[in-house]
Amino acid sequence: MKFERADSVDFVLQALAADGADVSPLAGGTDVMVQMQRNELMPQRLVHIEPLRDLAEIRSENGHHEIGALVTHDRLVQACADSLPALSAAAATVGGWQTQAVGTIGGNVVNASPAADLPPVLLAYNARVELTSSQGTREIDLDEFLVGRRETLRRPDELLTSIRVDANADGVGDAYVKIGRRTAMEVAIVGVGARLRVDDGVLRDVRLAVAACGPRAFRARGVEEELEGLALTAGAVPPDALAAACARVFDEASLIDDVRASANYRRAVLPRAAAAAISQSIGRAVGSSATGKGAGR
Amino acid sequence: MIDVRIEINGAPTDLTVGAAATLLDVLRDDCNLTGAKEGCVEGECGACTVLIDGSPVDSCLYAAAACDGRSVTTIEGLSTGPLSALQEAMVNAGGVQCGFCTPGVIVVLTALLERHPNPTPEQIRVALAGNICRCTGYAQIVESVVELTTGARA
Repeated sequence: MKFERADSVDFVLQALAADGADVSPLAGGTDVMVQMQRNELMPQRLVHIEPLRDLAEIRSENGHHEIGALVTHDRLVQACADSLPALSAAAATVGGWQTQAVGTIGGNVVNASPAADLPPVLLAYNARVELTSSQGTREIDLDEFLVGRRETLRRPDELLTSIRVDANADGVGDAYVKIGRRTAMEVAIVGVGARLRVDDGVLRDVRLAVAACGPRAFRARGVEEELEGLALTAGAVPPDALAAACARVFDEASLIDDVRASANYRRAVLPRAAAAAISQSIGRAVGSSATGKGAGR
Repeated sequence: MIDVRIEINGAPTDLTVGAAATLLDVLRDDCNLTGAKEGCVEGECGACTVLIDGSPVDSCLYAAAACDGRSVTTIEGLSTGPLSALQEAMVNAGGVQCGFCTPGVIVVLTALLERHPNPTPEQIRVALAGNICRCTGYAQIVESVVELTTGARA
């Protein structure tokens, strides 16, 4: 194995074009190094991309945010605290300080662990991923990009370079709810990302996505369908309606017993986690309409 | 193998390291800096924590080769001779029992205090989320920082 320092994005793209699956880009390494130690990943060329600061920018314009693949979790926590609170909250739970200091959004997405923290929030944001190769770039929906457990549509010659999400407009609220055995350093037993808009007391553009309940993070379209267009009562979804809507989360869930929890435990907590994410999102949405986005911050 | 120059505890150090050799292995085996401990080799326990360019990182998961041209601070670099004020406070508060987690904890807390000279107990606990201690239950560790920064004896 060779360790190589990328001095430009072009260098990485040439390496990927030449040697494809034998090349492993290395950023923070919090996933790649573990995989190598377990012999799950055995690249010929380990290409260190951390120095490519062009890939670590966050650009906000025209109603969306473009987040470079090398933006670290600790930077997301700070930079997105007001603009994308659920993403900030999710990034704050990826391991501890040591993990967040070097782990990146690109790594979290491209390694596609079923329990990864950022994908459910990004799916709720209708995120699109930009993939770059020596042939050019393409952008596809994250929902399409994620295929299965640690499986994505990234071609061997492609580098994930950025992720684009819509900004949270006025009246929009989001949330990330994570179930684990303890508060810190947990891999999610259940992870739920949500985003919705409250328009004159009616729920619109409801998005709910779930992690750790199937081979990949998925949109809970049944839940979204039930809630779309629902009128709030006293600023909330009536409990029966919320429970009924969240029961639809099992349409797409594929629950198994694993090292972290039993399928029965997930079956019990998943709809409640979904309900919590919806309620928190509504709370934020109503709060943001009242005060206006960015007021006083 | 690849040649690197890493500033370790202030001293520029030339090393030849394996492509995927971890910073932890290189520090312990090539540099005889055994303060950083191997606890899990999966980035879960924090016993291997060092500062890279001032930020705490699990050295068991970080490639030594990726540290070329950068500065690494280990527990050995945090005091030369007498204990630092934080280390004194940790000893006085009973925050050291078996001592295995201690180097990693001190490294993280040093980084925390550089950014937040008066952290709340909550901030201290959040900062230590990536450090496992099996002996103290964390209480005396948190207290040591509170005592250090407020001068109060709990």
